[in-house]
Amino acid sequence: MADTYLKLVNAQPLDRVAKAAGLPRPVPLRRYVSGEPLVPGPVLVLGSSPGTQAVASILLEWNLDVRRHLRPKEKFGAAVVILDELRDPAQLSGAFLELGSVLRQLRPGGRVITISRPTAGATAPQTAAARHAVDGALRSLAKELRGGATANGILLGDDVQTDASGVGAALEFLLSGKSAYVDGQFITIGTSAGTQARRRSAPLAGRTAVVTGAARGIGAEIVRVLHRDGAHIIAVDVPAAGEQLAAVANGVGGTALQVDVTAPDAAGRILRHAATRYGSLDIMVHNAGITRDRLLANMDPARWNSVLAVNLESQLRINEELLASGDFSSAGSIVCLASTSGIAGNRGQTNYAASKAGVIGMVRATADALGGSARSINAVAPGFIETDMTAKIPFATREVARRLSSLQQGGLPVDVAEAVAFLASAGSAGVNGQVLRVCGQNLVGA
Amino acid sequence: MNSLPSEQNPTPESGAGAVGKPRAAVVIGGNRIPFARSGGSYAYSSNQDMLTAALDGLVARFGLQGDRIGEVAAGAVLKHSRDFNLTREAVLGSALAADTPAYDVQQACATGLETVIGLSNKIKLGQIESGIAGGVDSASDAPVAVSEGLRRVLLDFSRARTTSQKLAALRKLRPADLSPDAPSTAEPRTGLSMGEHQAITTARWNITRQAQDELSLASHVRMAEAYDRGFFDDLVTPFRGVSRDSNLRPDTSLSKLGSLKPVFGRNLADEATMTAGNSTPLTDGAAVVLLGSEEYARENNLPMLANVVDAEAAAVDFVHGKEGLLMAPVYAMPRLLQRNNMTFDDFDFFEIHEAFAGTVLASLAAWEDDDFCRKQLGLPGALGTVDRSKLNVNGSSLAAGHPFAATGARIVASLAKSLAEKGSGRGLISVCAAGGQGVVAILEAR
Amino acid sequence: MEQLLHAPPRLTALYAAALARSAKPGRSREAGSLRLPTDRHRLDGVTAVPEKVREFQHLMRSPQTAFLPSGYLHIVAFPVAVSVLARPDFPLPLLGMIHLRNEVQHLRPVPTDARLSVVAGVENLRPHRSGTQVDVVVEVEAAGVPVWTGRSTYLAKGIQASSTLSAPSTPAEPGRDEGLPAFPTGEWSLSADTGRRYAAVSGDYNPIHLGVPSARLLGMKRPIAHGMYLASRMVAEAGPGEDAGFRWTVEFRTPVPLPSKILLSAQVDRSDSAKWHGAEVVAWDPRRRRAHFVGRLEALG
Repeated sequence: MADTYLKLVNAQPLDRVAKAAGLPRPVPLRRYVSGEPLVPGPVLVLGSSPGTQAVASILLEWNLDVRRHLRPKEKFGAAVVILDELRDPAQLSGAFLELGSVLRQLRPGGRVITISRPTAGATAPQTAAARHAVDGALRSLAKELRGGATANGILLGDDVQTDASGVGAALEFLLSGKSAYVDGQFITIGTSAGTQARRRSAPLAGRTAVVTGAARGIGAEIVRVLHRDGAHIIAVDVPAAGEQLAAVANGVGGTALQVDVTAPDAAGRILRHAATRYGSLDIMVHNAGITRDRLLANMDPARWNSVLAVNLESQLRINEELLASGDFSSAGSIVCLASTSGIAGNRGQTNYAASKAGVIGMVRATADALGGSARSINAVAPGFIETDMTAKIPFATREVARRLSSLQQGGLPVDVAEAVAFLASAGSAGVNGQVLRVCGQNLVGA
Repeated sequence: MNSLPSEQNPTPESGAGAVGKPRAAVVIGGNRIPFARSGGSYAYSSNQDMLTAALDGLVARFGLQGDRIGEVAAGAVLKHSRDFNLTREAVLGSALAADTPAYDVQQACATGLETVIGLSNKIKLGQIESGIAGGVDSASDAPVAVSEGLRRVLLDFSRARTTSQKLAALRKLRPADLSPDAPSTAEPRTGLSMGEHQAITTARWNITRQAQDELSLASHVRMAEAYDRGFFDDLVTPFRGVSRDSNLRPDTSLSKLGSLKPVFGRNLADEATMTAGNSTPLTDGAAVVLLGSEEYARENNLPMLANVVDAEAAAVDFVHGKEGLLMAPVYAMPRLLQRNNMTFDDFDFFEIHEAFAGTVLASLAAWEDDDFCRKQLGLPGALGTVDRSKLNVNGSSLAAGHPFAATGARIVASLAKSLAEKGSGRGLISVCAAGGQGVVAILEAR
Repeated sequence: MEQLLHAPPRLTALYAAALARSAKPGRSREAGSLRLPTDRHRLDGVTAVPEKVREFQHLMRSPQTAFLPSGYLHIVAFPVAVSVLARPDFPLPLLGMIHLRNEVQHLRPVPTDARLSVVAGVENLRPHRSGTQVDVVVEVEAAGVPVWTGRSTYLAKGIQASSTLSAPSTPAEPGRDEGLPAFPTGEWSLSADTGRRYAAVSGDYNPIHLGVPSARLLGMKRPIAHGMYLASRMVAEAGPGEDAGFRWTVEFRTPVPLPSKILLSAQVDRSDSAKWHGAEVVAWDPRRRRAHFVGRLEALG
């Protein structure tokens, strides 16, 4: 699981060799550590719209060092570019060129965040062009940044202003180390729901979360992060994984629930457990998943069916019962684990990719159905994450997979977990139906 | 989820019955590790390892991390002298609060049931609000003692003060003293193994090979079914990679059982009928039960599966063959029923510990025998017939195996769950024990 | 006549002398010429060794009381009895005599530290279908009062007593015994060192009980359990649990080779008030279903 190459190129004497040879030079990413500053330096706010001031106000409220301009050679930690009133591609140059002029002053682990509006909302071709242009510029910028810095965008629905609570939630996530492995992505704030943005150390306090597949790997990390954010944890896994599951639950003061998510009564048992023990269920994280890789030519029914049953059908069935149940909170959030394989496809994974693409379809349709309620459903699509599962990939393939991303390394389970925690809390703030990739801007599937 | 302070002694609840009766003691749930045949998967696990694992699984199931439980009582039949404080040591190694008091109990195979009774009584009296009862045994990691000769020499040597005294002590050592004493299941007073004792009882009651094999088959079939429908999902937590009892043979049949050679009773005049198939094997495992007052359960949003109503212990004079070694429950039963003004007809479940198939069948036969019940039990006639369809409905020790001290807690947790699933009715437990002892108990649905 | 011994006889010395004598040819063994010495041997001031008593109680699994167990009193008296059998005028060979039967009346409790007198003599020489049998009668007194009496019957094989003596009334040829109880009440696992452990406690190092080489010296393939070990365990197991006031007999049918596992049936007669009245004991070889010994215990008076 250890990324030996990453360690070697960050230590003498090989760091110089790597630089001279033009080899990929991944750096350790800036990850969230409780108590550390949100951003490693001043935050540059660029933009001229009225919404710009609202964003600056949010950042000031968080006691950040907010600047409209930088002194020459002054280092900074993040730039937020507000483009919420774009109507013409010609309006792009000012903000982007100004950003470019200071980009070399961005600290390692720095952030660039654009705030613009989705193309789909625009009717005028010029407006749509301008809005979509941000997409290309931002994704390219993400590939140019070095030193573990990332670039991501926030898209505001047409009725949403820059002071919406969802903007604060997304800004906090993207500025912080919690988004370390999220790069070149957009997060859409669909509504102005939610309360005023306020940084809280335990954003999920008082909420009860179910995490399936919690016994190990990414699931265990999701449990840890949700617990860190204040949630009560119900750790779910198959009975056979009970020993590790118990250890995970005991590590966070949660409860272990041994249930096979494919069982017909799985939803009932989860809901009953949550209702009896915690009063209700607020967050459902569908993390349980399996791979049974085979080229389609060699695929057998057992492999195909089991992957679909665990990764997709169980989520469909459980969601159906959850959303029909009064025990699932009226402001409940569902977060589903998809995969970049489900977006871009992956050789040998027709079954897996089918299941994960199916999850994305399910999330979008369910989100539409939830429109108008305070409930939400979103997905996280991890790319190459360093787990026991990916450790089994042959060495050469694994090395290639690691370096294929803009961050030139694999992500860690905690990166996925942070994204899940963000969606679990931002779900109540107008983020719905999103598929957030945690892939380090992997080239695959772009 | 701390225990209620004892000064909050509540008023008697309706569940405890009439005014003046003590309050109810409730079975909240249970946990055990899968039982494994001795010398198998747990060959290198100690009693403390297994009991700690069982406790940790219970803690995880009910979210008891860091809680101070009123008392933990458990024990082991085969116990190392270093494990003099086995239960307390297991508590210290578990996720429970370190200020949870604990003590060891040993009543041979009735240990687990006796701990349930003892702690239930303390709960009923208001001395404690919560308790964990249970037991553990390892026939694999059993203590091996030095011979009596070597032991005496070593003790004398340690008491000796001068060199010549020490040499004198050592001079008493004989080569034969160096061979160790392995533990045996022989009754100390008779030298007969438990199986040989049961073989006598089995023959006395004319229990046929066929009847014993049928009972054994039913145990395996019912337990396998119970596993398949997830009955044990919240009763068992895997351990050391084992997720089902390793003795369980879902595919056994009467013809397979019928092909086994007798292992006990071969020295008797009658035909030997007891085989490895209709006798429990030496087994390793641990089981625990969470008990509490109604207030404790409500305060902590814990389920209440069943009430512990009453219990009775009995012993028989087996030493010179007056009664069978494992027949004591037969004597305890009428006393318990009489005190509670009940008959067999008042019960929906019968859990009769299957030390041997012959034990169960001889007990049933004795209760049905008019002459025996008059002469030995002092009853006006036969005690009654146990409806076989209500007997050991989820399998018992013939299928699960029998880690001596753990069996009582296994049975109590399973029966309480059966009662909770049914939602009404009562269950009767009967456990025989070495030394001619037996304990019976009544649980009641809530 | 009573012959007063001045020092406790040493069993090993007596056995050694007997062994030497048995090696000498030419002693008359003709029928009709056998006469028993009428002298009885007496030894005063006999005391038990407390440590050995404890070990005896431990070996027999009997509780440690402040009184001497019935079987241990036999040990206390035994050297005096052997001193009679080792007399030059005793007509049968001491070594190789087979212990057939024991009858003991344990009249009064004997404190462990009591000073005892032991009187032993032989009587009742009579034929047996495979030789000649004789009774050794022992009385133990404390402060002049009898506390324990024992009668041990021994068989000297191959030596025919005079036909003028009383007719044989001996048990039938040992064989598969159909009269054995249907069910055992216990099993004794007798390890190979059973004889040596009993010897260490009793001081009776009769070679036939000790090990394979020494048993072979006396013509046995394997050592056999000491009759008094078996009898003492029987008393400990089926006795009244009191320190005196009972009588017991044991008949040895077939030797118990060492090591072995034997089955036992002890039927104890107790009244409803749990008072002990007596017991019947049979021990047998489980495979051949042949009795090893049969015992009976009764409360006195």
